[in-house]
Amino acid sequence: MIPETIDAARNGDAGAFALIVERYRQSVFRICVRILGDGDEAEDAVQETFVRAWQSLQGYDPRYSIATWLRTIACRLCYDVLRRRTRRQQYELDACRQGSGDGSGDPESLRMSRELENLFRKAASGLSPMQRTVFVLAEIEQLPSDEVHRITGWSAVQIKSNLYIARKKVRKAIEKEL
Amino acid sequence: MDRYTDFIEKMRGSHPQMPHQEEVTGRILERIQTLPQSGAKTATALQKTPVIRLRRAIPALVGIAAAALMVCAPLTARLKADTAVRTDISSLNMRTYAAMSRPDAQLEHYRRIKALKQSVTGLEDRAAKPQDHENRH
Repeated sequence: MIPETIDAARNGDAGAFALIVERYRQSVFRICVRILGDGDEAEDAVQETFVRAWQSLQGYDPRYSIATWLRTIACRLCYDVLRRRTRRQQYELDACRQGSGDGSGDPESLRMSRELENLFRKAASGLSPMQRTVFVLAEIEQLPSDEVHRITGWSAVQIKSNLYIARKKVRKAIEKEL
Repeated sequence: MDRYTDFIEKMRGSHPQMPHQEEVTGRILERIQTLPQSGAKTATALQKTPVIRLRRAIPALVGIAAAALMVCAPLTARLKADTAVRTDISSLNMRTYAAMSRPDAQLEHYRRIKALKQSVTGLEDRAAKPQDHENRH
């Protein structure tokens, strides 16, 4: 993203901010949908992420990537949603929920993508919010551990141990499902 | 390649698309029109805020206080009993360090002193009787 666009958005230019939204909405959505496991909730989280980003753009540190900053807001939102869900004991897998397909437009790849996302939802349903967040960021998004640390604020040991447990659980679930 | 690795590779290659991209973007832009920008940092890490920490610490603090009460109540009762014995003993004329060291020793010493006092009183009484008899004659 061009620094001038970010500066303009920081100065209150909504048009410049719209460019930021267009540029990053998909990557933010991808993380949200995988952490939350629900397309509608993920869209709400994306909306909330960008609204919060707009409100706090003055506090954005340009030394860091805006993508990381947006991921941080999105992850915090999704993590809170997951924790509330767990607290209400409503963290049940709803296989009927509409996922999101691959953007290629091909019906076959769309079906395959939805099957994959559904399988992931089932496999990840046994993970705690922390394990799920770390798993999505480190294993699927392949972010380096220092970036996962920057996003989540969790220690290297916490990230490592949660990732280890999450991998073990998902592997077990995948082998059972396939 | 095992099933897990195959699955993860497919997940990494898959890019789920937001179903209502333009609607979401429109809603975002609509909302920000009325929202002012502030300097507040919202994108801090997923660390717990002091309020959350405090709220979570309350049950632990209550537990610690209850445990402390359970430990302290018998100790206080014992301390009161010890103080009573100590006060009682302080009225006696004794300077033995050992007697002051443990409550059991204090009690034992107290009983011994009391018995000795009683026996001394008895001996004094008995000694006084013949004198009276002699005085009468």
